[in-house]
Amino acid sequence: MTISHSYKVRGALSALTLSMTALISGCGGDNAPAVVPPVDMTPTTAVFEVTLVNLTAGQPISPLLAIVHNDSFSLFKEGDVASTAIEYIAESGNTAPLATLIADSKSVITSAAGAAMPLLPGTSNMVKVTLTVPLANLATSRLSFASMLGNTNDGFTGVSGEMLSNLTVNANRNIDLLAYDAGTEANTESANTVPGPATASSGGKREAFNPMRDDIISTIHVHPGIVSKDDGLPTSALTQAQRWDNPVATLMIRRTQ
Amino acid sequence: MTTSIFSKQVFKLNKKFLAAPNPSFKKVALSALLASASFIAFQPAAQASDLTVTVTNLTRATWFTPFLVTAHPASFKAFTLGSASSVELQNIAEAGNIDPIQALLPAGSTKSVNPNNGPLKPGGTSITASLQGGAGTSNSQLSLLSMLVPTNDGFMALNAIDIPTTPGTYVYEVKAYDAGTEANDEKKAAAGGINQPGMIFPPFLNDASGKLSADINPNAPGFSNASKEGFVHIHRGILGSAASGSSALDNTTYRWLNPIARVVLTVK
Repeated sequence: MTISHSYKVRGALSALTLSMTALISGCGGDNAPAVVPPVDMTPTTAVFEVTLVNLTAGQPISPLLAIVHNDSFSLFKEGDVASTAIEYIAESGNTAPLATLIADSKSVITSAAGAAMPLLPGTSNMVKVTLTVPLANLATSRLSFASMLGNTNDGFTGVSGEMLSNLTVNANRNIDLLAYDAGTEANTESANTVPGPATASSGGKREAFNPMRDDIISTIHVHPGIVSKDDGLPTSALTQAQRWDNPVATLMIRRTQ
Repeated sequence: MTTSIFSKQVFKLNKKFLAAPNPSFKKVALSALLASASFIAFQPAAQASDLTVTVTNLTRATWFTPFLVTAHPASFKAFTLGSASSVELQNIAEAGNIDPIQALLPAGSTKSVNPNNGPLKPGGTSITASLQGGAGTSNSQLSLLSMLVPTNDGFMALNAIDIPTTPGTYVYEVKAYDAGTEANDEKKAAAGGINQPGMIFPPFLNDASGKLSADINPNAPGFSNASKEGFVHIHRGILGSAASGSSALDNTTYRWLNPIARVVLTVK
């Protein structure tokens, strides 16, 4: 209703502009400006800038793949068994299986990937992506992502099903993000199982994804934190430097259109 | 999101009223509306907001004992951070006993006792608790209390939070507290109940074979240098240890970081 009404007003205005321009050009001779038909500028999409900031001292956060989907899709939920796509992210930071999954999903509206580099603690701790959502989909749009905490067995941070429709244009929302444990790999913290930079010179296998699920807890939960070899875990290749407390990251969502 | 049956009636009448083309009919509909509104005013049960509460256990391996949800006046508060715990709170934090504290609730408080019909496992979401309270009643505050197992005197709580007066769904992230009534020695208690050193290990900590879970060492000596703190505070977490260490609890299993629970409150 509103849109067609405003269109009519615009139509009337442009007709008026046109006739005035014709009038001016009639008087002004040869240097009349070219008449450009006015374009309807009413946006048909909502645009969201999504910024992820790593707040930890010693955990790289794997590259961002942000997705917008409706309620028929759930990326992860505490108490649920992790999908294979989440297992890949939590154990290796690899978002390719998730990208394949969402390409086939009718429930996914759009997605955006950040640079293929991890967010390191300190000065390069931030990534920003832009998501464009058709207004027709906005009412049911939800934002999700998951990224690995690199110096863990199967730790990740993320957000699942954050509502977007209640953000007005130019409004911001900052969300404190928790560290989760995917429940897919035992928390040995060993040089053979932690792929992040903390084990780089360890000589261990530093295995990333492994389809075997051997965590004592088989569902997604808030990560208990690493223990580290400095705090009494003999198998750990990690030190106090990779410990964290929540929140481990901040997600800033800004609607720009 | 469902409204009470009374407000549904009002809504129907209201629609009729709006649709009525005839002014005299409008008048009839309006008086019917007023009559039904005053009917509501004389029904105390319909005046109170309906509240529902669900709890999700976010921890890796820590259980919540049967919990108490209560809507109560501002005159009640289960604890004050930095102050000594009451014996009633101590009963919750050391033994999971939610009976004594109910005697402290002011008259007219509402409650849901053990809505989950048992402890809430890690990763689990409770059965929904329903109670009356909030806007239009003297029970303006909500409290939620449950012991964390295994701990010495750890508990989870919403401590007399203001019940929102606007209908809607509200999400709270809940922290772990320490009652300060018992040393965090992380060893097995010789007996249950309060004022007994050590942690209780109820049967729900058993593994599939019915034996105490393999990541709990009932023979561990505990931390002999621990002492009770004397005041309620944010729990510093389980330390745990590797196999054959001081703590009875495995350090890769029983630690947690806040938040330990998510509570969803709906106000109707």
